[in-house]
Formats: sequence, C-alpha cells, structure tokens
Amino acid sequence: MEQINIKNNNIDDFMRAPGHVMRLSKLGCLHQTRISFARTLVRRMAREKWKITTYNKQLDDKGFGQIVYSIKTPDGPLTFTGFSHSLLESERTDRVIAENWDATFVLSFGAPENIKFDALVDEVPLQELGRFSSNEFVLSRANKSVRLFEKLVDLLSNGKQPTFDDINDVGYLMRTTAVYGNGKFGLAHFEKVKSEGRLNSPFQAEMLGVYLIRQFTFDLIEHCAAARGGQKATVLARPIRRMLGIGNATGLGMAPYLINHPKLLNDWILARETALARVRSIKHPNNGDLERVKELIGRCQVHVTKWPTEDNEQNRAIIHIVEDLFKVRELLEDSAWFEKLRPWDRMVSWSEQHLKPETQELLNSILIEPYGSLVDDLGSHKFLDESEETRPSMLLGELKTIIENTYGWALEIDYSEPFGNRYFWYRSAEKEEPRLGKRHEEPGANLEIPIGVAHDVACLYKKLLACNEEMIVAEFLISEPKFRRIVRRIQTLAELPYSEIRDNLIGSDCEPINILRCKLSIFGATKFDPKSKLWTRITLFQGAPLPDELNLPDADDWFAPIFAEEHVAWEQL
Amino acid sequence: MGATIRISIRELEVIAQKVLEGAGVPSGLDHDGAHAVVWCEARGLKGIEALLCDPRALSGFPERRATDIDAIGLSALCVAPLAIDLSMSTGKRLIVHNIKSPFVAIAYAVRKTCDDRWFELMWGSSRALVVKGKASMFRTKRSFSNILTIVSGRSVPSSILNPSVPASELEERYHCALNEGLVVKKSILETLVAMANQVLVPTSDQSRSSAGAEVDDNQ
Repeated sequence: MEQINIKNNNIDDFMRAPGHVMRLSKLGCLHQTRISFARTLVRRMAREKWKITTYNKQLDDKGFGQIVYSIKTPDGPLTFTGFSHSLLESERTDRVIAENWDATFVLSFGAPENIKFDALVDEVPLQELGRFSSNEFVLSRANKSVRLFEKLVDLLSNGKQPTFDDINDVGYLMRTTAVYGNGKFGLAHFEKVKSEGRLNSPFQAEMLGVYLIRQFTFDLIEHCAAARGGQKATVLARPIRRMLGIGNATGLGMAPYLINHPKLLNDWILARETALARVRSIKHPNNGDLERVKELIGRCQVHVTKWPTEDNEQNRAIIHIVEDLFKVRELLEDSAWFEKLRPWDRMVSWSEQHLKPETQELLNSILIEPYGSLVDDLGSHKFLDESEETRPSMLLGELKTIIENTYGWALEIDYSEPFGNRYFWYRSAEKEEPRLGKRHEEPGANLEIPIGVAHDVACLYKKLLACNEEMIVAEFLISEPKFRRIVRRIQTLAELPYSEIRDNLIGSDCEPINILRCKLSIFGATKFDPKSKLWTRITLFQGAPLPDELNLPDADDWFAPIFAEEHVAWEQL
Repeated sequence: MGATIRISIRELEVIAQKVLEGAGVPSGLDHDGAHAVVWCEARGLKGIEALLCDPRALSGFPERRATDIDAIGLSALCVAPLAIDLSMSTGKRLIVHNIKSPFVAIAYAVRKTCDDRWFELMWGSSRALVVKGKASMFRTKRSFSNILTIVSGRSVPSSILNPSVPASELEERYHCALNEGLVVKKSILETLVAMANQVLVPTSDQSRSSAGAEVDDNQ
C-alpha cells in the first residue's frame, strides 16, 4: 500500500496520491499557483519593502549601452546590470548554443558604488565564455521579441500607445534564453548565496534576475522611443507595462534537473498538494471566498482567450478550458452544493470526473488563490540538504520490499524493445546542451545520462531477485557498484512521496514537454506555448506589480492577469 | 607557477564528476568521488592531484577478500566509499590494500558521521579522526602508503592530540574557498576539461534536431 508521509494528520485525508499526481500527463497540466516562485518573490519584496531604482543609464541613440539598477533589501544591497547590444538578425536564436544576444545581464552582491563595472563590461556579454567572481551570482541573456519591440518603439515615438491586442499577442518585449547561477563560470556557489541571507530559497535569485530584466525592457524601449521621437515620444502607459512580462524559451536542459533533484521536486509538489489539501479541508467557505473564486473563474475565462499559441494540442486544451469553466460556473451557482460540507473538496473530486486535465489543474490553482493566509507559508521553500546517502547496513530483502512498496509503478512498465527504451538522454558537445536521442538510430547511447530511473529500478529489482536477501547493501555494492546510484536513490527517497516522476522517461511515450511544464509552473510561468515536444515558450511576471507598485493594495492580485477593460461581468460571460 | 584561473567549488565538482564518469567510474561512485575531490581541494588537501594522479586508477572494481578489500591499485576516490560503507556496516576494522590516494577517504567518512558515528582512518604515518562532520589530521610527513585502515564506531572516539591539521583550520580553508573560489593552474583546468569532455556526444544535424528550437526565431 502506498503511504503518504504527511505529519499533519487532518490534512492527510485531502492529499492527492502520488500515483495520481506524479504522472507526466498530470504534471504537464500544472498552472501557476500563488505559492509559485515568481509570486512568492514579489510578496517578499513587498513585505520587506525592497527599493529598486535606476542607478545609472548609459544608452546611445540606438539603445545600445548599459543600465544599472540598485536594489535595497533589509539584508543588504544588490546591483543588477543590463547590457544592450547590437545583434545581427542572422545571430538571433533562442538556442542555448547561440553566441550573441540582444541583451546580457548580471546580478551582483553589494551597492553599485562598489561594483567593478569594467570587468562586467568585458565578461557579461561573453556569457558562458566569460569568467566571473563570487561577487556575481546570476548571469542571463535575452533576445528581443523583434516584432513587438519595433512596433512599440514606433508607436511610443509617435506619442501613441499599443492596443491590448498588440500586447496580448506576444506578452513580452524580451525573451530570456538562459538564466545561470550556482557557481557556473565562477559565479557564487549557492551556499554563499544562501549565507548572504537575501535570497535564501531555491531559484529566488534567478527569479529576481528575470523580474529586473522586465524592468530593463521598459527602460530600454522608452529610451529608444525618446531617441527616435524626441518631443513627440511618450512612455508606456502603466497598465500596458504591467501586462508585459518576460518571455522565456526553455528546452530540454530543464528536464534532467527535476530528475537529478528529487528532494526538491518532492518539496515543491508537496507544498502545492498541501496547499490544495488545506483548501479542500475547509468545511464552509465564506461568501467572500466564493465571490473571489467566481471572480477568478471569470478572469480566467478571458485570460485563456488571450493565450497565444500555434500548437494545435495546446489550442485544443484552451478550448476545453473555456468550455469546462462554464461547467464550473454552473456548480458555483448551485446553492445546494455549498450547503453541504467541504464544497471545495467535492469540487476537486467532481472535476476529475467531469473536466479535462488542464482545467482540473487550473481549477486547483484558482481554488488556492483566495487563501493566502492559509497557504502562503508553504511558498517559503528553504534550501534542502539534497544529498542522497547510502544505507549500507540494510538487508537486500528490505531493499526489495521498499522497491515493491514505493516503486511498484516502475516494475509494471514494459521496457522491451523497441518502445520501452526508445530514447536516451545525453549531453551534446555543443555547450553541453542536453538532448534526447533515438537509441537505435543515433550514436552516443554509450554516453547516456541516467535519467531512466524507472528502468534502472526494474534492472536492480531483477538482480535482487537472484541475491541472498540476508546480504547487506554494502557487500552487494562492492560486487555490483553499477547499482550504487539507484540503490542510494531508492533508500533516500522511500519516504518522499512526490520525489519521482512515475513514468518511463526513456520510453516512446515520454514527452519531455510535460517535465518542462511542471517545473515552469512551479516557477510561476503562464501562457505555455509549446513549439514541439522538446521545448516551449512561456511568460513570466505578466501582470506583476512594477517595482514602485509593490506595496499597492492589489499588488499580489496578478493570477491570470487581464487588462481591466477586458474584464467582463460574471453574468455577461 | 604558470597562469592560473579562479573557479568555483561547484564548477570543480561538476568537472570532476564528468572526469570520473568519463573514466568509467560507476554512476553514484562518480558523484562520491567528485564530492571528495572538492572536499579535499577546498581544504588544501590536493583533491585535483588525486583525480589526475593516474587515469588507470579510476577504471576497475576492487576485490573483496575474506576480511579485507584489495583495491587493485584503484584510487580511493572510487574505492573508499565502498570500503567505508562496508566498515560501518560490519563494525569491524577494515584494511584496504593497494589503494591510491588513501587520504581522500576522509571526505566520504565526513559524510557518514551522523548518529554519533566516528571514523579513524590510517595510512602510512598519517591519521585522520572524523567526528560530527569534521575531520582533524595528524601527519608526520607526506605519506605514500597504499594501505588504508578504517576503524568505525559510535559515541566516544579516540582522540588525536596536537593534530597537525585541526578541524577548525580545515573548515576555515573551506569557507575561504567558498567565498573566494579555488585558484588552479590553467593547464590543469584544461586537462580536466578535456577529460570531462569525454562524456559529451559529438554533435550532428540529427542531434541538433533533438534539442529544442529547430529554427531561429525573430518574433
């Protein structure tokens, strides 16, 4: 029997089973929640009254040069530097293998007065080929969304604002293609970032970098418009600014991360599931909560129609969401439904019978949204001890039992040729870009990286069946060291219910886009725009408050953002 | 000294893992070995030297003898974790013969000192005591022994009087490396990177299409 190790017993009954949640098809439907990293970061900046100001702007008439931002936090100052570059059209690519970009960025410890900008000018534009010190901790780059950027420069330079459709069609002025941290290229090790105290949760530093890139794009485009239009030029209207996020193109590189950081995955999914369980456990939602859910459903009905994608499957999913949300509305109008205990719990169960998977997960995000006081503590992820340790004294019989109890799903998969192990994951010689090869058609399977956890578990189990159950793990691993990684993984993760993706990641059914979607939704991404099964575009921070809006009363209300003018009254939808 | 470069301890760990993986060290042991390289290098104990000492010392499997282990000339980077696991499971003194760079065993022992467990490691005229996640060392001279003795127990360990390298000094060196990075010779780093690159698959048009965005995009 599957056990869920949740200490808070009264919530246990409302937790969804890992076997249900941790399937690729389910993870590939997740949406942003209020405890996603982007949302958590913005709340923290607001709570701690961070001050973000432009320290220095040196751009030429074409918009090339640099902008430096000062970030004051209660734990000390930070500096963000953005460089804008000339880029040939032929060089503009979202691929990690690109060598030049429209803009490059670095986030440093300390106040701008103490930053050695000469070194940054030389190194930051080089990105992976540059060398950095432990005073820098996030490195990134981005390319313009040329169509929207040029259109907006033209409009603003003539004193005009873009239409809502202009903004909704793209949603951002620049798209990041990589955000690096944790010691890469000499950057500060995450232990140092953690010890500095300002950004002490996983990916909070990287999310701050992306948030500041967004501000950089506003300042850059207004500079370009002013340079072109002179007196005629105007600035972006505030509602337009707010609806511009930052794009991102994410490829396979993100997929191995989730497999290689199972404790983090468990922590993040457990937080999300606990948030949902807490909401499901509410016996009688008050009228305010009900009205809030209705308002969010209405907002989502508009928001999803502004979700630009050319992907047929995603477009079908969006159509289903629109249809499904009408079913949810009917339920929300049914007063009898709310007279009985725990209507949200029953609604989640009902959704799994009556709605498409994408709408199920969107509904879960909506239900969590009104309950900040109940769930926001779950967004405070700390850096975990991610080490996996062997338990050498364990008997092989016990190890076998753990596999049967917690990895039974892996033993049920058919790994036979050609479908069961069709793919292999590897690192390409091109910037070590992770790629997915067809095992029997491409070279490199001998250099496979161990992503096929389920397959490895099944191989180990088969081996254990032929071993003496009284043998200890330490003795087994001396004669069979090739199983060391998977044995340790099983021993470490046995008590962590949401640590494993419960599918065959080397099988023909594996669609890596689902892994990307899972991680990106945890980051707080929206408007997923899959470009294939291997990569996707997304938007981050669309609707987020601007730096000088962090303490407005509605600063935290940016789930499924739409322009205020697009809001449609409940009864008119 | 030739040209040097400053790298982060995380960079060294990633490179070392790939070097070990590329040398054929089994998955899992490669990560243990990389951790040991960094643990030692960040504390001034020549972890990189241990990694580069002899590529043949990274390829192969130790042999279990009745009461001991024969490392058949392999590096402690890939044998010590197996031996320490065995020693703590049996609770008996364990001798590992024919082992290279035995001092790097300290790094793995440090990881296994939870629940009041301690380790005493001996090679040549050197000794290390590992307690509560920290190590102190006593060395009379640089030791080239190829025999490692592992003793493990719980609660009260023996002690090293007047250690030549106390735990506090090792931790101070680590914090310095964490904050300032590690300085390594460029030529050494180039050698490491070349070895690490053995795990990379040469690119091809087919492989490019297996990576994500197929086309440039200017939207």
